Amino acid sequence: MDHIFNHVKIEAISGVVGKNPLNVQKLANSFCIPEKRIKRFIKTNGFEHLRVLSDNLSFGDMCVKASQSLLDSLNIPPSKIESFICASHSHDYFIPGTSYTIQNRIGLTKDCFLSDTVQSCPGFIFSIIHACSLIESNLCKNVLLCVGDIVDRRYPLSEDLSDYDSYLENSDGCACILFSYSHENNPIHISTQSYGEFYRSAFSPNFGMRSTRISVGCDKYRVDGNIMNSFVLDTVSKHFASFISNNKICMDELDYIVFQQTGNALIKALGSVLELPEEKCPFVSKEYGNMSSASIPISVLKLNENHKKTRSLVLHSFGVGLASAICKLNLNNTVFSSIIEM
Amino acid sequence: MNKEEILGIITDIVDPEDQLTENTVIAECEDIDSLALLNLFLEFRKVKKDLTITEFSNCKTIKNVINLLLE
Repeated sequence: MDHIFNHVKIEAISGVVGKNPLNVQKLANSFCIPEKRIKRFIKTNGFEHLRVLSDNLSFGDMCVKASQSLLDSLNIPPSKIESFICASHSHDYFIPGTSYTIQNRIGLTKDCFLSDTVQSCPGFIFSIIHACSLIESNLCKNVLLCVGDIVDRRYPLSEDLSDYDSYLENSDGCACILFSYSHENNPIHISTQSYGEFYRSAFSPNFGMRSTRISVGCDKYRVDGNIMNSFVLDTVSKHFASFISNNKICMDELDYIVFQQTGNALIKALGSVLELPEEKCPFVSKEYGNMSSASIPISVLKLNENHKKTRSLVLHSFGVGLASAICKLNLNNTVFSSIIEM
Repeated sequence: MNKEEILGIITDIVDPEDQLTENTVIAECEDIDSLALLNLFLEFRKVKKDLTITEFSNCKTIKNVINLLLE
């Protein structure tokens, strides 16, 4: 799907990350992963620490904190929010949706339209489509969006270590974004591609009702690294190239291209295939890990904290689905909050 | 770059327990995981600029990789 939304602006972005840094090397040592594999993992992916949310806190708690921080930064009362979306693959409960469980904590009114979606890595960009659609269809004047995930660390690594790489790269984080109607023309170019035929390549089969009816064969979240790498360096790279070409985007007009923070080497390889300048495609998650759908907005906040200019951006998320989602937007007057640890 | 040099680069990056040979089957070699393959792809893109992941992924053995790079 390709579309341009013309009358939506991003008012503000806030973010929450897990307070507790988990040293990847120590974590790997605790599971007796061979030293050689650990070194290769850290060198290739570039993650030195992951972020873990404090005990007894959940995705919903991060959403509350990020929402309150954002609304405070703009001095907007929660009663003014007309729509609220929570996108995650780690919602607090099956029933009801996270948005309902935190509605009153944030202070949203009964007239606020609530919606929850199950989204993973590409969830941020997919949710931009939801938010912009609500606004451009005149259903509401603003949308508060929370995206993010927490990692289920109840289970140890498999004995065959087949899931060690996904275990050592994912972190807890959440971002909150406020969209509002803009009278001025403020184009957000967007494109998505979905490849359901590869759904088993990043798969967590035991957390749904199907597993209660039919044996699903395995239990934990697993990513097939080879299929994922091929998907990114072939399908995702072609999607990016066609997006840039179709929208006549000039590299010089962009401050950054922020890719899903799947690891330093994969971002480098993607940049190499697309012949992009390395400095335009930053890897900023060395201390944060890959935060799924929050990965890109948290990276934008991180770039801002590092005093980098993030006004004209292409954001490209990809992964679970499998899916690829890209958007180009301008954040000229967006308010960026400091990243909160929780 | 010749055959021996390519095998040397692969060995340096993979750092295998057992010696790699031209006949090593990539899928059967425990040391060549997805991260090793990603590092190899990045390294070989430096010498073969038009190398694609599809071509690279189609290589079943080290010999296939060598032949691809010598094409």
